[in-house]
Amino acid sequence: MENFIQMTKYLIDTARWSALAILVSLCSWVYAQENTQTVSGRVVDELGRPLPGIGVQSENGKNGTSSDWEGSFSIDVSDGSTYLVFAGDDYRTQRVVLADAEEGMEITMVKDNDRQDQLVELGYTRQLRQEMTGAVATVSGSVLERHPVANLSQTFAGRLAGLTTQETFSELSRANTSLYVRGISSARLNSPLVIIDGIPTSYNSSQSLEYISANEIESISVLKDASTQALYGIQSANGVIVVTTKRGRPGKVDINARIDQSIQQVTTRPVFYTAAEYAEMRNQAAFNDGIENPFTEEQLAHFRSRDLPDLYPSNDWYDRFMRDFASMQRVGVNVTGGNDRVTYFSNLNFMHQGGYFKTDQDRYNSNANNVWINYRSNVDMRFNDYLTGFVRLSGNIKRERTPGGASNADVYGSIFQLPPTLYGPTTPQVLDPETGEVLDPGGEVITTQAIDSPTYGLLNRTGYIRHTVTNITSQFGLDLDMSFLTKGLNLSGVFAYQTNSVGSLSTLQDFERYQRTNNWDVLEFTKKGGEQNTPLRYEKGHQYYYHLTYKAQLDYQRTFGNHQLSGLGYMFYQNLTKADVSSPELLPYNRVNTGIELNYGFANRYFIKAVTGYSASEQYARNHRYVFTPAVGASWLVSNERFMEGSKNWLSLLKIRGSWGKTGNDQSGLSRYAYLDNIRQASGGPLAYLQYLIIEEQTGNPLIQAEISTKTNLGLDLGLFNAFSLSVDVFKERMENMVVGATATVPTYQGVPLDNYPAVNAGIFENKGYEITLGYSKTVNPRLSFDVQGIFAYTKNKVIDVNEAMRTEDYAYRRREEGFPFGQEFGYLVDYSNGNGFFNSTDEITQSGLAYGFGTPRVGDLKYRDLNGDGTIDERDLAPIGYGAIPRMTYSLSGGVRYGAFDLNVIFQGIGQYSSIIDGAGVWETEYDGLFGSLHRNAWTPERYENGETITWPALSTTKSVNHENSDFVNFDRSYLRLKNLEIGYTLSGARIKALRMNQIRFVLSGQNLITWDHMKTKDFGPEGDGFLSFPVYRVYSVGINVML
Amino acid sequence: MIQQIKKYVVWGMVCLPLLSVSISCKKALDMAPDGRLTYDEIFAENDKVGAFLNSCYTYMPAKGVRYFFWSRGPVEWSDEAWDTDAESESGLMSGRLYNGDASAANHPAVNVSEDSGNGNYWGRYWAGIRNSTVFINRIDSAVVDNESDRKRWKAEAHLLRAYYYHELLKWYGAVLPIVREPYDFDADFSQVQKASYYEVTKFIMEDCDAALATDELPWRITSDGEAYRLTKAFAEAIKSKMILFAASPQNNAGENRWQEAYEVNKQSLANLRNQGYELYNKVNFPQTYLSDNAFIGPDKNEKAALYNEYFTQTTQFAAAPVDRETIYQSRDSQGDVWNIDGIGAQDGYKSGTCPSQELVDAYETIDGQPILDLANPYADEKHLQPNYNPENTLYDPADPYANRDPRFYASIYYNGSRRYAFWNFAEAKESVENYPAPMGARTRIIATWAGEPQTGLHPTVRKATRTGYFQRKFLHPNSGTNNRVTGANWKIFRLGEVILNFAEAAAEAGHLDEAREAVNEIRSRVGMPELPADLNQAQLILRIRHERRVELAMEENRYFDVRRWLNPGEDLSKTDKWITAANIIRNGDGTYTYGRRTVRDVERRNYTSRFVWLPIPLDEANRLRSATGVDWQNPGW
Repeated sequence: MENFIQMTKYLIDTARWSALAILVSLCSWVYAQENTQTVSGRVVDELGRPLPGIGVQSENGKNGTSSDWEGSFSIDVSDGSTYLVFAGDDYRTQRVVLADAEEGMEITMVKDNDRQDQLVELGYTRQLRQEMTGAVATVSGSVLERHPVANLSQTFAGRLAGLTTQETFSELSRANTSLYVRGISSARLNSPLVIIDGIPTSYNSSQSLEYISANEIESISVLKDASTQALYGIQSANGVIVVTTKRGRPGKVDINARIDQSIQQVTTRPVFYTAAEYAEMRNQAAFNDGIENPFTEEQLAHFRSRDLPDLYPSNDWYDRFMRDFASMQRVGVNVTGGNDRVTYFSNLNFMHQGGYFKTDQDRYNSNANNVWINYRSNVDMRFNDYLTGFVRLSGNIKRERTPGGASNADVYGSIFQLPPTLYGPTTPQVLDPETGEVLDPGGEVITTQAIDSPTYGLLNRTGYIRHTVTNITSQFGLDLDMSFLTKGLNLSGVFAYQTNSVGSLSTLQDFERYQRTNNWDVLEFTKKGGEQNTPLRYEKGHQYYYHLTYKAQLDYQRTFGNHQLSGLGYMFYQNLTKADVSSPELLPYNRVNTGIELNYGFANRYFIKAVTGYSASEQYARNHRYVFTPAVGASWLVSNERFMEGSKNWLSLLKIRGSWGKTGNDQSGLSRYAYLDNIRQASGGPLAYLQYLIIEEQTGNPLIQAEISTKTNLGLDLGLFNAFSLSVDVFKERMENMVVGATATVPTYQGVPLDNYPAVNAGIFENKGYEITLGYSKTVNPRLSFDVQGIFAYTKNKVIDVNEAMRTEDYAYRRREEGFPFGQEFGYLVDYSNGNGFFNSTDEITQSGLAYGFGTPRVGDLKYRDLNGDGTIDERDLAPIGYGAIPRMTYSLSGGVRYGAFDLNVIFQGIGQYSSIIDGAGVWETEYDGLFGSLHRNAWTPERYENGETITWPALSTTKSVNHENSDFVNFDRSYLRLKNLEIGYTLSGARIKALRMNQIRFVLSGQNLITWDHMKTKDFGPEGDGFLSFPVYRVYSVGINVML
Repeated sequence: MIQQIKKYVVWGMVCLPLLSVSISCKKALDMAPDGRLTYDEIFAENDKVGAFLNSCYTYMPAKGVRYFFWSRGPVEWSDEAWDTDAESESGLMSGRLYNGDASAANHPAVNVSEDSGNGNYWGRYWAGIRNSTVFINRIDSAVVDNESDRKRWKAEAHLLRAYYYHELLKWYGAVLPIVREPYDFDADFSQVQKASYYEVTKFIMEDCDAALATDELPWRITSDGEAYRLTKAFAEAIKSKMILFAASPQNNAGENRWQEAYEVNKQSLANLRNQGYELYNKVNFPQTYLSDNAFIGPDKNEKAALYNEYFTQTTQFAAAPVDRETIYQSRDSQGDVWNIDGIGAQDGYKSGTCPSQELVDAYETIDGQPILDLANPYADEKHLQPNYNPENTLYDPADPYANRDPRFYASIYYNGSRRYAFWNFAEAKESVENYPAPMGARTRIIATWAGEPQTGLHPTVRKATRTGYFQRKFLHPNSGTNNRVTGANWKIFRLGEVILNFAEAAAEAGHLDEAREAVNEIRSRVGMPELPADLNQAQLILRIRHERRVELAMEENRYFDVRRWLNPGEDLSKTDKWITAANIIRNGDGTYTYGRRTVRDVERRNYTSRFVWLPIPLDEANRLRSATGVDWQNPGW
């Protein structure tokens, strides 16, 4: 009670005091109102060309406009400011004192190659690049817009130093790209935190990213070091990606419309074997296995001569089911404009992704098809001198159609399971040879023993499904300028709601499967399995999740002479509800984060930052719930020193940065409420007599807490001649309380199933690396300019301690995780001492004296190295292969040339030091009815060996042989260099266009993934993507028109 | 003024959520109660204590044909049978074992699947042991409404622990620590030691004795309400088995423990008999098992019928049950045996367990003479040349299925035997014995000659036979899709086994008369003549082991028996390396030529000495090694 009285008193006091302050300030506002000065003029670049889109703002920020297409501007300054600020992304910010302003003045903007006046978005804050102490990579939306792709993260590759991208699933309009900021910070493939317009997206964040189209984006920043991440506490250790969408800017209405048409084509396509080739390889495999040949000589002859194409078909199923190209259309309109009171950015996008399958079902369409509608409206309002607010509303509605029986990806994968010898895709019509009467209408779907659902059936006989994915985000925020308390103080609050729902309406049917009999002389089919041809029926499903977020933030920013001071404190609460109905996942997920940041700068030369997050999630017990994540940073802008004045003409920038601090992670693979035991009572059990049963699941660890990664970053920025730039960052991250299983040292015989055994904060993980960004840009003359940028990033991690138990001395490698990068693969090493790595004769097998623990080697099988020398090849001989789970090197080279009305932009992007052991279809020839890829064409045979021909695969088999083990033989080098994007534009502007009431028209030709150079052992599938049976990465050609009104 | 009010409102709008967040922070992040329990809560309420005991029961395995994927596991990994799935589903347990594709990291017997409790024994039984131990340690101070419940429950927990230990010891051998107290999380595992086979056996027997000393624990479950609870009879069965195992050459560590094995077995057997346990000795359902359609043997043999009836009927829980032989049966159903382990062709699915020629050779002729020389049954490594017993005058290799032990007819479908059931196909011309006949319920001659399209020998087809034989011991005579009699619940322990345990221990300990008497009881139940009175000890032991092979055929004993009869370090090449089939040729005149062939051209590779024991799972072996500095792994893994 006493507390309450005190608090009330305090509130009343505050209110009184505030009221007074407001009153005083109001007066000054009224005063300012009366002094309006109108300034107009023109903004030009160094060559005297008009510059559109340069922001013009008053010192106090309450009046603003921007230059139009002729570079002209006109502004009424009424907020008591003393100067005007002219700012544009690539230019040095200019200040013009109002008193000196004259009518029709010309402002010349100077190109800033070092971008020191760029405002970098840091999530909850923004900072001038020159003041920054940390490591942040940025890219603007207009660059990403060049990529003619549907999914946003497909545009990231090579654009951001220190961001590793891996396209892991390439279905059109549904591609997934894994993103890692500086690799990984713990022994887990965690994705970075995504902050979209200041709101962390804690769940399904990669999907949320894909819902945004590049033309809505102002910029993307990747926060890489502790001093920029620490504020986000336990969500920050995996790095932070900050997405900022476009805001309205004051000035005339600008309308930007774009339409494009793309065609998409696979970059790789698995090899096609004729039926004769297939049958020969099957026979070869059977021969090697010592079993009866599946095809007789006579049958082979028919396949070869194609004399009886009905009975002995040779089907290219890929051609039968896949179109060569798929088309995509996009239309987008951006509108922006505003005045001192309201500014707005509105956007509407429409996209259509056409189907790539060949279907022949006339009663319904089951071909893949996507329609996206994408909208965003960001409105900023100024209510009065002190109160501003914003409403941001965005949505993405996507309607997808897929075949009823399987996802598009599975349908695609099913194509390659079908052997070319298979008759089909449906049974033939049978007529009475004399009367012509239809004896059997045919048309039933044909399959094989090994294949459950053949492609034709999946595509044409299973109905279709319509998914409606609705992703809506709304934010409402208020911002109170509290300069009535003290100048530079600001209080803001945001409420955000993000929801995602997927409604699926399925129209399904099933179909009968038929199998051809073993008699190749006739077309005879028998029914396989119990499926029936069923009529269509409907089903409906629904999934959803939503985030509720509250955030309050207090900002302070002020300059006292040479002293620049700024700071913030925030409080954030987020509640995530998912559709799960099982306990405890049905309970909402809650987080509370808070943080404080302080920045101090002196004379634009020395900058210090101190920050801490203080954050919690419900994952931990009360005593261990909150963690501090402090960090500090400092930078020295050497080139601003007085003693450097002399070198200003060539050394435009020299800056040294450093930061150290802690970041946290709560995505440790723990089950919910990991601190609690999960023991429940259920009914039932083995003895009916006892009625109930105790179910013991997770055993809690009350001490479990968030993981802390300590990060150090050192950076150097260099600018020469305002043309050449270099930025180098070196970093080290170390986590000493990584969550690891305790079970490596706990024997199973203690009785608690190890799956239920609690994890502990006992692991150690280290990650190191560096990034180098080089740039050069040059304006040769008013008609010709160019720029190039090179990025190279390297990251290498090491698992130091995961509680791994040592293996016995007879293991060649006694550890499989500790001392290796995360995801280190192990396999057998092929013994190439005889030249080719195969057992080329029975003698060689005998002489080797080797026994295999997993089968018996045949002639033509792989000879593995007996690393521990015990005469047996088994798991004791496994050796590390490759570089771990993620690529170590990422690099890119991008550039642009503008010549007159033409412009050309290009980016080459690549990764290095990355490989994977790949198995399954396309590699193991034993899959399904025998699935042969390019690798198997030159499999080992005595003849090939005798003739000294190239041998690319051990002796074929029909069932698992000793070759079908993880080994360096099936390790694929997945490094590549790719011409990721090429864009050629032709821009029309000037009077003739003006006559059409337009400001500019741009015609664009662009291409994505045009050429790839790689070292894969087979060309059946590429280095990115998910193997033989998965959609390959697509190549895109696009033509578009961009109109600015 | 209005401006001011506005600002207060704004302040409020901003501050109120802030305030509420900061106040509710701690609470907001606590989990809402969702019914979780602690051990203290469990042992503070009668029903929950019972519930915990119920959980202790969950680790009991289903056994029988419930090994993945509807296979008989150890039956098919011994010389008793061949699994048809070894070829058609070669990645499953049997296929991989026959190829020797096993390692400590991935052993098909335990890593392919733990469905129905048949697999992952190491993790599963240790979890059962821990829960039973927790129960035993807490039950004395727990809240239990009724003192008699408390005692009986505790006795049951002792028995569960004994059973789980006995399974571990059977599969893994002497690589187990003895755990009397549940471990804490921060327990020190560095001082733990493996106990000897005998020590573990004694620990198991100690648990059994604790149960036997509990008056509240009954000898027999007499009502369905208490179905599948453990009894004193169960305790005796475990004691009988484990002391026999501990005395066997593989496990006795050079000590002669036969006298102790004899004494324990004698006592157990006497106790069981006193409590009304006796061999199943008459046909109780003659309308089924002696009907014209049962075809159990050529001549409606009552002895064969009662034997088949015993294994195809689930035991009832009653005060005076028809079946007084079964000591404990698994609670799990055995499924549609005819469809997944009978004659695959009947339903078109799979045959599963195909009894081997070796097993068929083991059935004596009706005069009580073995067919082969028991000490050395085959002249060659591949078992293709039988050493016939010169004293046998009844056996005719050209007519091999005549005049055999009634148990043969009750256990095996052979060439020329008949079965009345629903046959899910119409006969084709090639099935000469049966053509023409429509799909439906009818009598079919089981022709197993190579090439017979339905039931003939075939090297790969799932519904065919690999050996020329089909399993019928657990197959109801007329079950099928029109008569869905599921397999009888698996008999985990039965008196017949205890009698043979006793016989073996007695013979080994030199009490030959008692041994012979016990075996003769088993033989006379099925109408087989007594053993000759003049056998010396070695001969008697051979005959007892042989009797065990026949009487307990396909009951998951042979796998363990051949192992314990070996000396340490020996391999299984004599019994398990080559498995043979009846190679039956149908001649033009309708007669058959009986030959032998190996089931496949290459040997089974699960005969080497490392296959005597399962490996401790690799990770566990590594953990034990690094915690204690001692290698715990079984030899060869």
